[in-house]
Amino acid sequence: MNGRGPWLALAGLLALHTSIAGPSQSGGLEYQKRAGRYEGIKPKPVAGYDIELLSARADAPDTSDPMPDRLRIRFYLGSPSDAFICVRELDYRYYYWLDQVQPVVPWTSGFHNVFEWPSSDVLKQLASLRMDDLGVTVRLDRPEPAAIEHVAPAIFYSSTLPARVNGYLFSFRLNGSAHITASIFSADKTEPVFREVFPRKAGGAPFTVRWDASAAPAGSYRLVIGGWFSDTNQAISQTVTFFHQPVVQ
Amino acid sequence: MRRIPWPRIALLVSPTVVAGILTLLLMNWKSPSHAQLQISTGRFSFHVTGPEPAQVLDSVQLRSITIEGYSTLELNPDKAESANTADFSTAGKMPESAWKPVRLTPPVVFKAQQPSLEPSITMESAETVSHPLGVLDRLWARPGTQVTVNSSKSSPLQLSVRFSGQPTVAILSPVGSFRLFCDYAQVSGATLARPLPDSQAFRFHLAGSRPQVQVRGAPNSFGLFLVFENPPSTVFSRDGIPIDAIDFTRQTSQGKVESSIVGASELSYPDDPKADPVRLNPSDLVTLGDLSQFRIQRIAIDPSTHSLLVTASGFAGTLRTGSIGFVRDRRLTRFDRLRHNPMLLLLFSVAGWAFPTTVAGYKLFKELTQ
Repeated sequence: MNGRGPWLALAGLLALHTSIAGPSQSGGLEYQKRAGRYEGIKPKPVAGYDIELLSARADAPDTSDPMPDRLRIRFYLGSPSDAFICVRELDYRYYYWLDQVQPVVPWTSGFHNVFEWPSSDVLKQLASLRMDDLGVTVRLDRPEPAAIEHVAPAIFYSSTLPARVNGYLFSFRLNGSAHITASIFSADKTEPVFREVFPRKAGGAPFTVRWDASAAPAGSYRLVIGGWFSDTNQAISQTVTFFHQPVVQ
Repeated sequence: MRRIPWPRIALLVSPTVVAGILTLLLMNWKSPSHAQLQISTGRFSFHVTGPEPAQVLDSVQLRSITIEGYSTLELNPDKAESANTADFSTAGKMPESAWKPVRLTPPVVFKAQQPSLEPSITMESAETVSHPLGVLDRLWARPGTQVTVNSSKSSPLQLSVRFSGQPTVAILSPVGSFRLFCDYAQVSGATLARPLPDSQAFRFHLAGSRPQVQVRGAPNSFGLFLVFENPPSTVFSRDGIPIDAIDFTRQTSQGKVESSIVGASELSYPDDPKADPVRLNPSDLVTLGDLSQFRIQRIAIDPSTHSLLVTASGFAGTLRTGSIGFVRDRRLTRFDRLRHNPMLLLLFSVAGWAFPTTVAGYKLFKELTQ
């Protein structure tokens, strides 16, 4: 009798068991280390914030393609420092997250700081996700959200880099319905250069503050979000400081 | 030396071996299970399937509504006024003198600007904040729509319902005059004396002949944030919603994904009532996949905690529950089904009795005939 028979039968049983148990989780979309960054879908298995900054971008919509092949982030630094890039969905559907970017060369002063990555690895495979659905933050000094944020507004584009930054989009999410006032101050000034009142903002919905900075000189600015929650009258406070450098070179 | 009678030994042990292998196989053979979920959650999402649109929301009376991801909002007012939002006091009130008349050429259409601005519209009664705004008509979702429902603990009750993947239309019937706040919208049919800022405030009264507001959602994502004066008895459809995917997770500010289960929940097996139900604790994970004949039967709201009580059932090819790091496959095995099915158990008992009896009978017959 052939001595391999029982082993073949056992192997058959094991194979049957594996097929019954179903395939293991696979695919390349998981949040993982990729070339020069961490990117992907966060695995499905903290503290909440009253208001959180979701995105700080230059207002330079890249409408050539809803999701181009390559995405680029460029930002200005006054001096070499740590910069923590985070790309996420403004209103999450896929749990997309990109962070822990490892720059090819250290971040340096000026507009020379560029990070780019292919959308084919993850983003293009997420049906109907567009560049507009993504928020970008480049936090300075620390990667975590805070009540006072220091950011470098990101130019988020695919191929054509704008020559000037003429405005900014700051996106936030509130924990509850609120009355909000957004004011932008030049450094050390008490009179705002911009003020917008949003009398009703829904909790959980992202909202964006647009500042037309075409007439603003280069310099440090701070965006102050104030207001209160409709149901508790609890005060809301968030400050975002940033440097406005209009000329991209 | 006497030869060992291997064939006889093999014949003797074969029933035990066969029974053992069969039992092992049945204990590991998991197949799609008919499962029923009763989940208490703060957020969940599902994917609508089936041949025709499914009703998601029942007709509900609202205190206010915020609309996001819309394409157009159209109304036919007979009276309109506008005010500068900068004049809103810190108490959220506007002096009556701040409202200026608007020249109308109906219909008035609000068109959302670029999506990256997150354009939104909020509507509330012009009487008092607690006065009802009006009624949101039943809302249907086409097959292929991803629906995400979120509940907040705040008072009054607030729910958000987001539709993505397919275009959705909502109809609202306001009662009396109402305020409308819009951000990043182009307005036609209403002429204002001053240039429009990014954030605008209006006060409308609709013509009696066309007392409705029609909102067309953007196909990519259409969000309704509903505020209720009192938790209504029904918000969601009572007809059942056919689905092919359902998810009970949320994402934290740091990007971590965690369970959205917030209260005592349970997984049971309608076809196997004797199978012990699986108790789920807050923060336990539930993963379902390969769903067939799956329906959301009921979505209720706990009036005290404002959590969503979801009842759904159908066949699941993937069914896992547990805490992080201790997730277990909860599909029933064939052995479980055998154990809990009296007919199958009887059949196997008869087979188990018949086999050795037949062998013994055959042996007896052979000995008697020799």
